Amino acid sequence: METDADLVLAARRGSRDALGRLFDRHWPRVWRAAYSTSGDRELANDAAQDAFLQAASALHRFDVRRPLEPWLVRIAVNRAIDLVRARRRLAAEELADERFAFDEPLPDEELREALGRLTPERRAVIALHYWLDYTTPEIAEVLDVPLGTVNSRLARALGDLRRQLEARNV
Amino acid sequence: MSDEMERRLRDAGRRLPTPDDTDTVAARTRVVSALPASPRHPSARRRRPLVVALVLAAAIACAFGVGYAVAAGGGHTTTKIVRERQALDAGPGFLPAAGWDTVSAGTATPAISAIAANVPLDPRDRDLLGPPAETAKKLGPNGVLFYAMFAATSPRERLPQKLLPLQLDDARLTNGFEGVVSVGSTRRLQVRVAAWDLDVLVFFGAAHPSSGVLAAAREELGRLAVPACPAALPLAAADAARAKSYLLRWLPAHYSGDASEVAGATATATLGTDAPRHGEAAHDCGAPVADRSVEVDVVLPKLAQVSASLSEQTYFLAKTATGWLVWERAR
Repeated sequence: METDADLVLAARRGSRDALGRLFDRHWPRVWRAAYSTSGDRELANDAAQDAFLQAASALHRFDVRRPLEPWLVRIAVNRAIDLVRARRRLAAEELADERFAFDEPLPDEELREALGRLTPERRAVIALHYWLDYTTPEIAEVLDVPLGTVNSRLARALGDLRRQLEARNV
Repeated sequence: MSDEMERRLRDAGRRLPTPDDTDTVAARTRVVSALPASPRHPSARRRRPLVVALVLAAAIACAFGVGYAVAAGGGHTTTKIVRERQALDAGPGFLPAAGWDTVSAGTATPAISAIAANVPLDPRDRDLLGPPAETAKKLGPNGVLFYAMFAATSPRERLPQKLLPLQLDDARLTNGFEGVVSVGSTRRLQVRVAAWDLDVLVFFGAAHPSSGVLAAAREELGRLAVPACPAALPLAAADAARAKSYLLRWLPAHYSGDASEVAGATATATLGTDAPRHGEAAHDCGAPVADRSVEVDVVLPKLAQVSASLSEQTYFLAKTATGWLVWERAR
């Protein structure tokens, strides 16, 4: 099986087939990262697609010694955060807590609501850690923030979730 | 509660929706069709049917050399060009200089990049598969490391067009570069030079490099060469006649056909934007170079009886620090 590096090098030489195979390989998880951050299917489509488009135009400067997926996820998550904020501005919403809701139901409705009250940055850390199985150092690299910031966001996100769920159950 | 929370989170993750098939197909089509063409390089440009971008300087490197060395120091913040002979057919990269370790990919590879450092390059970085991350780790307080990436000009990028030599003062401070850690500070210069989009990272070992280190970095940046297109100097009105005279002297020695066909050649010369084929020059080397070029249209009377098109040739010349340079022949 060809490695990502093989496919990246082939895509650099102009192989659309290679780029297509990279897309097939990474689209589901990149889309999931975008959806987890935005909570919106349309925004996730846009963010994930933008990640691949940006990557395709910058393949020549990608370090093939490094894994490809974190690079794509990084672009997608940051793009998703931007899109969520842009949508809020366009909608002139005045939600101080930047709440959002997943546009499709999750089986755990309480958790869905609690996640919706997290900031996109904290939600992204939760998604990367629990839903995409990234370690905290990997999240730090993906989000380009210090490890301490990741640990802090994760702890605060979990604290927020815990408080919200406990309050509902009081 | 913590374990329970984590269990609920992981369970929710397993039940997240998946991308819609229709959306996936549409996105895949857009992504794949957006793959840019591989960067052009001189050999490819020569094959173009309408504008035969003949890189004459590369073929006659012993006659024409353009290079860049620098005298920077004291209060100077501008890179100066001084004479240094160097062939131009090696692809983009840093010209050799004492105290600098350089490597460039040339134009044979699709990923064109070059690195230069005033410390020994780590062997793992010499393959140019990515940023010189290993060398970056070894930069001392006076260390400077360049990583230059070259790509064919893209309409999606709106980069400022610059002439060589590039200026360090045009670079902006940035928060590092992915994959490169343990450097004091990083500057980034993203510009268009000729038909290339350049992305140049300058890694310093110190957060606040000394004036001597900055001067050394300016010098090295001045040695960054881009093939085929000249570091053109501004023109004066009298340069039309000078360029014409030069071209007619130069032509017999460099004409590719029978030397007798050049006999009796006549020429007209036009400066910069007034040149009839200025657009072709701008297409190939960018407007700043075209604006500083002289178009010399040559008529070879002996060939006129055979073919009008063969008898008419157009050359673009630029005035450089090393003298006149015939940088392109168009047909």
